[in-house]
Amino acid sequence: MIWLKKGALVRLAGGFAVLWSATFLAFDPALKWSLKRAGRAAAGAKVDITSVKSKWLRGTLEVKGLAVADKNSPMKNVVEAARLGFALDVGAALRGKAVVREAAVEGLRFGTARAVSGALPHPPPPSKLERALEEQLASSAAAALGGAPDVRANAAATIDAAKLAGLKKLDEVKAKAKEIEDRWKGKQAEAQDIAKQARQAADDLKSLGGGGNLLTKAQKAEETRKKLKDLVARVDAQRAQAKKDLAEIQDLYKQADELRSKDVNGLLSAAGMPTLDSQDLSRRLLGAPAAARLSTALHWMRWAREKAAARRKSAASSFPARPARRKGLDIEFPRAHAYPRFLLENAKLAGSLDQALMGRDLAVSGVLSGVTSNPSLYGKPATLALSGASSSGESATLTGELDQQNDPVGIDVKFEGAGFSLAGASVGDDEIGGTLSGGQAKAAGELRSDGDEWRGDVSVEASGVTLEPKVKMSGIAGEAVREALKSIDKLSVRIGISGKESDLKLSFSSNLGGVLAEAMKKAFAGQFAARRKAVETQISGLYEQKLKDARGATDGLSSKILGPLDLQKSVLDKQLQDTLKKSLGGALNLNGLFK
Amino acid sequence: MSPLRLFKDVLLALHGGGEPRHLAAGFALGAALGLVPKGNLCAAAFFLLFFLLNVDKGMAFLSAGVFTGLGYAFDSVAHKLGLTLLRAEALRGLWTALYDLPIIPLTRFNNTVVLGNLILGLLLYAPLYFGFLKALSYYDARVRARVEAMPLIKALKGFDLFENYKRWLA
Repeated sequence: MIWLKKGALVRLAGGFAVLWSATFLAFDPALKWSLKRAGRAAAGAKVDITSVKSKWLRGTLEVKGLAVADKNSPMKNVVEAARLGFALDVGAALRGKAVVREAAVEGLRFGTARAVSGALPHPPPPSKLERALEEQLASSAAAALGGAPDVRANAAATIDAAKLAGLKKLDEVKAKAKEIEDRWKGKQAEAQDIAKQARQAADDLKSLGGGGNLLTKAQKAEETRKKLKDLVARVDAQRAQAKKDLAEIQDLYKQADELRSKDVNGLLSAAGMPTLDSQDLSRRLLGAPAAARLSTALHWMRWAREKAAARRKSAASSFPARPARRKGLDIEFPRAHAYPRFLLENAKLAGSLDQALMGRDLAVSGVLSGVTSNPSLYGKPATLALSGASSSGESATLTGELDQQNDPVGIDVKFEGAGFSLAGASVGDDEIGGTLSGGQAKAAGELRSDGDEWRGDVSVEASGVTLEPKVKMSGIAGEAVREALKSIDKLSVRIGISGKESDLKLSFSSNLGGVLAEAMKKAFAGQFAARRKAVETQISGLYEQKLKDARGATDGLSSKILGPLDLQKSVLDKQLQDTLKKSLGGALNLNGLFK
Repeated sequence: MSPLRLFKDVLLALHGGGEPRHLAAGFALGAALGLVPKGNLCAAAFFLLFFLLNVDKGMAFLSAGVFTGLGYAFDSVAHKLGLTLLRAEALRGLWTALYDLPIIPLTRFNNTVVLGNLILGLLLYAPLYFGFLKALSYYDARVRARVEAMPLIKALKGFDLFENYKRWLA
């Protein structure tokens, strides 16, 4: 039987032709579809691409009309690019690698309006980070002012001790103290063992005083010294743990104190009385727009960090997680100095910030480099630098660094800008707020994430501000708020972010909140003061009792745990010094040596 | 090549017009293509083998279709097999050499599922080939006569349509 058919080669050529034409016709649409799909998964919103054109022999890829919708504002794009051009290394492409030596992104624009909504029909659920941001802002929405104009001065706040978060925290302090004390009681055996070994070392030390072989004594002194050093290290480790435990208790006290003022505000708010807290007011006036921008920035930072961490883990792990069905896992076998499977070496960016700057044009340019599928092999961080300045005084700089080769992967974004007009920007909500009709602002900030730990600080300073108030409140309160908002001629906002995603803290401070709180306090002078004081007194009474209980459980803890450890440490230190002296010959009888 | 033509090829082959070994080879080769994930040079190479080798293409494509579905069931085994081979220290030199060659990485041999399924396809080639031959001879000896004696088949044979169908097959 002949396995190779007559004319098989002709048919093989036919097969090749079928395969080639299918690939040639389907490659660009398939790539466009894949890019859109990947973009949607990353953005959590629609991604539009007008066309994708690849030229295999030249090794170029051109993407036109890219628009990535903002999941938080679906009628806006986070970013839009008129053209993206990539020059691929053909040699690397033949090895199945996408190495982009040079790229150009032209016509970059941020925050542009969309004709149709960019929301997905089935949007992904909000991430832990987004939920944390929402929770941080939701509480202040109504709490700051409550139903201030309508509420009667004799409105009563019902205090339910079981619902007070601060009291619960004090219970936690007490429980923690007991847990720590019990744990340290369990460690008594170890302490006794250390004491026993220390006594043994002391006996050994004494025996060195008599006559005998000098070398043996020196060896014994060295052994004792090593033993004592080990014991000191054990005691030091215990002391460090003890200090950590005690610090944890102090931290809980601090949290309880913060929760106490939140409890007061919560009770006042529940009774319809305004808290008039400047932080809450700042959050209410500036929280929503700030959170939308912050949420978008943090989403993309988190996405970049998680992608890099996953790639790093997959490349480094010997037992990677099970991949998706039929997808498998690509394992690289690079020689030294080989390229990773994907590398964007250098991309030149050019665009404008017209929409982000209330229509004023600011050309920006920059470089994106080091984006790779194998961070460990590449060994360098991915960086982004974008800057621009205009003749009319506006300037903006943004730098980003993705520490993709580190564990945990970190991402750091710094930005700075000056000369921005605030005309047209609005603050607050329907009930209380306003529109800025003038003012120039400068902004600076840094956001950093290491693993799921976030920290950052953003500040905006504006001068020459004119605020047109929009206040629905009536009566004295409404008038006071209106006057306070009108009086504002400069603006300073500071937003801090810290903590893990599961316990994210967002701090807000602004002169706007302070000015408003003062005005409101004057307007309501005497009206709510008595009620507020009454609530505070009641809460204080409950707190004092609990605090006394908690203090009773924790006060002696430091001396109970740290006292014996400190004593043990000083004894061991002294013994160690003695041993050192003896090993140097201080207490040894060296007379015979020079006979 | 239309699906109808493929179906006709398979029917013709099963009704005594085809060489059993071509059918069996087509079945085994189709299974290998079916198991390997598509979209890489490895699958394209298998596809071209259909044209190059004297195998029954109809059976090969039918088998590829069936085994593409079965590939999902073999996914976990294939991944583990591929991972074991790709992580094997003894083979590291081979993979590194292959990875550094032009064209070869386009087969995606370094993907756990591709390599695992390729190995599974090659390992299953001989059992599937001989198994299919045996099944075919069993069908000819025991089942075929009974199938042709079935009232439905007889009824079909009574129709002019069947004559037309036979002419079409020829």
